[in-house]
Amino acid sequence: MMSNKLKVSPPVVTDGSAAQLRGGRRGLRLPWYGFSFSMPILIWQLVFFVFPLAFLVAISFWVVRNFRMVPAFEWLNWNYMLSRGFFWDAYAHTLAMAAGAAVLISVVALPCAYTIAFKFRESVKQLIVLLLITPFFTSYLVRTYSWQVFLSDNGILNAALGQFGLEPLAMLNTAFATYVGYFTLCLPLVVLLQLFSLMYIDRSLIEAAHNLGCGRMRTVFLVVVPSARIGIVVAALFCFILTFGDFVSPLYLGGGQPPTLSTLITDTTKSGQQWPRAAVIATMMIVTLLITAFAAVRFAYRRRA
Amino acid sequence: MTQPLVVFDNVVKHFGSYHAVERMNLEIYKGEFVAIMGSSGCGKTTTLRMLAGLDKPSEGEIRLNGERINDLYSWERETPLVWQNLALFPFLNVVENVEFGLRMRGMAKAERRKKSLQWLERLGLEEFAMRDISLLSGGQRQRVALARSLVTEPSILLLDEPLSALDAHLSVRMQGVLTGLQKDLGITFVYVTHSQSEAFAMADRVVIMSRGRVEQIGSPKEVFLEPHNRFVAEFIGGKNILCGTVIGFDDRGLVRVGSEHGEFLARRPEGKSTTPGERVTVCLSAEHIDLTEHPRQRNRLTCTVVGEEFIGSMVNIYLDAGDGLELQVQKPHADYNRLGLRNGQKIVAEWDGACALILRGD
Repeated sequence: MMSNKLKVSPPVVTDGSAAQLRGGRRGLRLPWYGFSFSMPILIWQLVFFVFPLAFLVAISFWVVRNFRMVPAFEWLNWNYMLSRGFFWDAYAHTLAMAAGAAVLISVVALPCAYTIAFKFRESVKQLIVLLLITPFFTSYLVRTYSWQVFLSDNGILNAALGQFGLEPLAMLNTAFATYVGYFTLCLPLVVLLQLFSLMYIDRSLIEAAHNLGCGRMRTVFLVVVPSARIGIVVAALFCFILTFGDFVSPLYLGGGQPPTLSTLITDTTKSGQQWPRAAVIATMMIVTLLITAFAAVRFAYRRRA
Repeated sequence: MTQPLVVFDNVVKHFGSYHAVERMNLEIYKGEFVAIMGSSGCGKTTTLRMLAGLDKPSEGEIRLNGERINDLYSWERETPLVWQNLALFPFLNVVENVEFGLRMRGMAKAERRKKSLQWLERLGLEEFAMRDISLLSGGQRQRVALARSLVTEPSILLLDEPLSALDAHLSVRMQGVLTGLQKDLGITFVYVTHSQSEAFAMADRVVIMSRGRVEQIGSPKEVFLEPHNRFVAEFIGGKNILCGTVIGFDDRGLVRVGSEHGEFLARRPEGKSTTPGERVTVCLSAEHIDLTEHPRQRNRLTCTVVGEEFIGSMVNIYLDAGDGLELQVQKPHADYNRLGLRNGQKIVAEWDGACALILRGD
């Protein structure tokens, strides 16, 4: 980097004043300076994200002959996957589950984040932020397995219900259990993201709304939520991304039926080494996430003319 | 006397052990421009917030139109406030901000839009109606905030240091806008500021507060000419404070005050009695002191010039009168030039005894 910087320095201008010279140098040097700091992460992203992604897309055009992948450029796998009803069923199911989770978890998290942001003292708030981080100390897979212990037919919850003479409920291997897993995965994160955006709302905006005749509940919808929009949308987006690609909850808590796209990917790779078909599914998922993320960010930062 | 619009009746406000406002008694009448001023932490903003319903009084009663409003929420009373930071909603455009109050009152969309646009036009902002708040200048935002508060046609408008963020030039122009609006609308303005020039330029009456207490209430002229106590005299500035003991009276009815700097004469405020032996604080305006080498007055002090400072058309001259007493004298440039002062020079400061005022309090 150092040698690069030296190369871009302008030649010494003998008739220029010292001040001019410094100004000229600064103008050329600064972009490189900032760029050199962002290089490591750019290289990292290029090597470990862009290249594998390109490879993934490339694989989707390969073919499998005698259980071995052969490089090719065929639309075979795309034609196969996109014409299958089970793919679109899984796609719709995954999309609905993830969108439902994003909405449901955001709605559950918002009153919680609001209360933490506005009703607690600073010291209590810090403690709660700490507590919201602690779930991430434990692996998500481990937390999912522990939910199995709670939710299974002869698990803790049903044993507790039995104490009251109630029939055991089938909770494991249902969409309900999948959602329990999704909440485990996303709720602390969503609350945290919402909390950070709510905490920095200018309090005078809320007071101004009250002062102009806006009651408490109405202020939440007309002032608090719009003010925290970026945080709320980004939190929901994270929730969507995490649940859309999640493989653990739908399989270990939801029972894998109906399959989500990630279950479909594992099934496809297991049966007959169909990596190219799995690559088609994965590419479809990435495209969906990119479109959703782009739309969500555009919506979050929307400004009027 | 007509019924006051707002009454503060022995209002106390404390936050935990901190007493923000102590025993506030204040009456504000319809159509008045009242400025509450004091340095930061004096309780002026808390007073305004209690009136707006954003803070609840700990004791006492606040009445609006004769009715107790202590327990009414902010959204249940008509006391719009213009915030120091304006508190405009960044997610709404200009006209949506202005119509917010009307929307809360359930006015139909077309009607409230029409009314809001009228207000924007009145304040010269009609072309910005559909703009984003972030695209406006400081002065334009100021007027949007005013329009938002005035669109519901309230009988009172509260303003919390609304001009403090503007540059001096714009601030003076906005003062004109504010006083013009207040006179046109005939409504009451309660204006909180730490700036004496803003308060004196605009207000019919000023309330000077310090450490949660009201120090003086009066017209700017009254406060300027007859400050009630040392705090007020020092707060409004340009005043010299002398302490002494009453010795007796002279033939003009002036009080003879003895001090460590010698004997001098001072005037009693109307209605204040003084008895010999009483400790008094005397206030002497900087512009009432003359500097001369040929003294004529009985009230004089020989001083050393220690500094000067140019303030617009006037010059402040600082004198050391010995024994830790420093005097401030204010002179127009012409007089200052005629005197030809140098630092360290000895000169006599003298004044007419009728100009020195014994303060009511201390």
